[in-house]
Amino acid sequence: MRSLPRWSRAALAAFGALGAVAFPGTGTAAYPEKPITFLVPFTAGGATDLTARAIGKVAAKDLGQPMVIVNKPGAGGAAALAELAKAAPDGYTLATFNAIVAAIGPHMREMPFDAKKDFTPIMNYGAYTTFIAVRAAAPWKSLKDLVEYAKANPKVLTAGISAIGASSHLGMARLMAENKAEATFVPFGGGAPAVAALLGGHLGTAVVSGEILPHVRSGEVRLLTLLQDAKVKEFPDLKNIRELGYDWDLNSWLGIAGPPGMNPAVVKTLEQAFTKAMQDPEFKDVMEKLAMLTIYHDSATAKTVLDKSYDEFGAIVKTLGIGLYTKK
Amino acid sequence: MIHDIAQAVALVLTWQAVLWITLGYSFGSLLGAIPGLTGIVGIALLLPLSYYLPPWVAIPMLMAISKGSSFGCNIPAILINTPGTPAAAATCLDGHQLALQGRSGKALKANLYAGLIGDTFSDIVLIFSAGLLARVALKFGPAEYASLMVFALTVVGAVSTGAVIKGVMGAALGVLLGVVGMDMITGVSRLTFGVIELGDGIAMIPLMIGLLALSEIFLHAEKLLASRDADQGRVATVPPPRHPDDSRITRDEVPRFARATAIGALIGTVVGALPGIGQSVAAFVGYGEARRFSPNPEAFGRGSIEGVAAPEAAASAVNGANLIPLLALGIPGDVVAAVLLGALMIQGLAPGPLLFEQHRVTVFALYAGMMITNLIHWPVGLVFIRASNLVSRIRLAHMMPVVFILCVAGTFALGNSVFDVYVMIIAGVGGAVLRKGGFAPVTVVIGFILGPLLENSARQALLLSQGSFLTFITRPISLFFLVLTAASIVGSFLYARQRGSAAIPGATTSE
Repeated sequence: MRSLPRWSRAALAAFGALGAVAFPGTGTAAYPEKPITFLVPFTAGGATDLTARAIGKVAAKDLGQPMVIVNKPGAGGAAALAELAKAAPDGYTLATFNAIVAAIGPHMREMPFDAKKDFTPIMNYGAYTTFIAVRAAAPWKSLKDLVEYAKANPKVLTAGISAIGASSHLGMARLMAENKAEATFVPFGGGAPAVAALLGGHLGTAVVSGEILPHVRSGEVRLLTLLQDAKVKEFPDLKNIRELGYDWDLNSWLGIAGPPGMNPAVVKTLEQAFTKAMQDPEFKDVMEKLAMLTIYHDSATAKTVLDKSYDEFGAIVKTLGIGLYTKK
Repeated sequence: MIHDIAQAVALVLTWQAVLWITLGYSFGSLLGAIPGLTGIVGIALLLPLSYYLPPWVAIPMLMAISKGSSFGCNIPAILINTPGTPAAAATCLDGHQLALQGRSGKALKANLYAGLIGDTFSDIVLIFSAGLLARVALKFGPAEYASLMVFALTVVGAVSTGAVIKGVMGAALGVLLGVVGMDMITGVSRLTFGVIELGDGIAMIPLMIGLLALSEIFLHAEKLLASRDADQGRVATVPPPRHPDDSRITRDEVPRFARATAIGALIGTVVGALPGIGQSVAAFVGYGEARRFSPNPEAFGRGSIEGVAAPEAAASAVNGANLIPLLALGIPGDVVAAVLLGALMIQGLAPGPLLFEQHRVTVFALYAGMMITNLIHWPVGLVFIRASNLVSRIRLAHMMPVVFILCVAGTFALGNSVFDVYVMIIAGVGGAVLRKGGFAPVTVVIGFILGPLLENSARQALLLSQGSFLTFITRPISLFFLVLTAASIVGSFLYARQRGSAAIPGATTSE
């Protein structure tokens, strides 16, 4: 029976699930000599969690120490990052780190950390996608059509987004502002409910992530653009925002960071282990199935990207007058 | 077609598949039986393992954990009035009253069979009409959701223990607690007082466990300390049955049980098919509607078998119906469905309109796995009921400290957050104070759940309608729910008047 090895692997994994997957004793360097805590600021089973588990699992093999995934959702991800900022910089506490929490979050509400100073970015391995989608039956065939409609009919176009201050909101808002067009933003608390509202005909457009793709495949929804500077293999004809002539894109990076003041040698070890893990077919498979973009930034680049995107998103939030810049 | 089904059933009918599903179900029931731990914790634990299993085993196994926990959490809810989920809070309104009368066996069996029927019913609906129902559910936009929530709020009248005005006050407090955190529509933080942990609002499970379970423990402790009678410390968790009929559903009760179960299963299936509402609302609406259509609504709140059956059937029916939007559209209806979505995608089964075409056999196999779960539900449930008979003989004085520790540990485990534990303890004190004042803390929970759902949907609807309130009455489904709400309020006034009593409608006289 072909399925037999699967069963026995499952039994092995069952033991792993009780604690963490252990791969003891293969490392030779002094670091790491004990398990590494890997904080995930989101609930288990979500896209970010699944990619973190996938990359963590492979890197753990290489480092010779298990990665203990600790899901600590709460306060929009700030709870976990606050813990990370205060943790000992010994390389035994790491966290998933992304643009939403670190580069946008601090402009939306008071955070117990300074995103630019209180973390050591280790590397970035992916990015979230942001599509602008309309129903196939909608009159807008291109992004230009949509923008022109929003310009001619201020605030009539309704745009479903996951949340105020989400990258989907900031990207669409920037697009509207640049073209002197106006849309009414309707937050749905997540991408999936916005997709449902689009399919149900309650919305003009939805600015969402990979959850829209099944409906693009079924022909019910048309994508107008991707706000990241990337291509989606499955839809080669889809032009991204830069290809459509804009000189910006949405930098919604996802990576791994540690506490401030980490030993550069430890950062190097981790950076190499995670970088190598990106080549693992299982990790690649997870990223593809979850419709995530794969990007790569080393530690130094990740730091530059953090600072740059922090300022960029800050400027958009300020222009929009939301979050900490809400007019009282 | 027949060939596909046969192939699917053959895939699932292996001893390994049955074993994994049984393990998942039992694990879920055990977790659920611990206040504070919910199915979601179990699913998160076993998620990594599911990647190694074929999808028709992995997905039913994960669902079995969720189904098991929604059964299991009713056991402590019924026996010691310490619900671990809002759905269990609805079940124990009458379940615990039955237990206090020595009828815990009856309550637990009603709970088991109602759950079983609710689950199976919604699974069958899912299997035969997922695509169609998902399309109908899409007709529900924000305006429809808002009006549905207005209707759901009328359940406050049905669960108020004292005067309805106290129920309304409780619900208002719940709404107030519910608005804490970032306002979804504007992104502005409300009532957080600069506390970072409140950024996402008060977490629902810690608040609920505090209000309902912990307050119960506090009140027991008070009773024990105040009593000079040494025997008080020897009181068993629940009184023993006085008659064999106390431990089963009698023939006379079958019609009432069946009607309540049917109402619950129907409501649960509808609510489950609408993403974003969830088991809690289904259970409470199921309770309220069963009471409305019951020939003896007075018995509700005092140990009515219908009051156990309806919410449990409704909550269980959500399990299967949640897969309607999930499989057909890729839209998860609640946290459990969100995790299942991740699991499905990792298995290479991206849910959506094409899933049924591209992975027909796998989808059929998944359905078969769900049906097997329902078959397993029965014997495993009976074993759990047997075991809970032993638990119910433990002295309350021994039981309560253990439950207290489990509440703390479970709450912490939920989000790895000490702050949540503080929330639970504060809510526990608050819940005890409310009870002393004759308020039902469960109304606070209802307000807490429904308030934000109503506010967000209503404001979304107004954004979509460019600020016009007419949207709520020009859209037929929305209008329907508003008319239903009005009819239900007027109806309960007329009912009270007809009875010739001065009692406020919906009130069961407080003791």
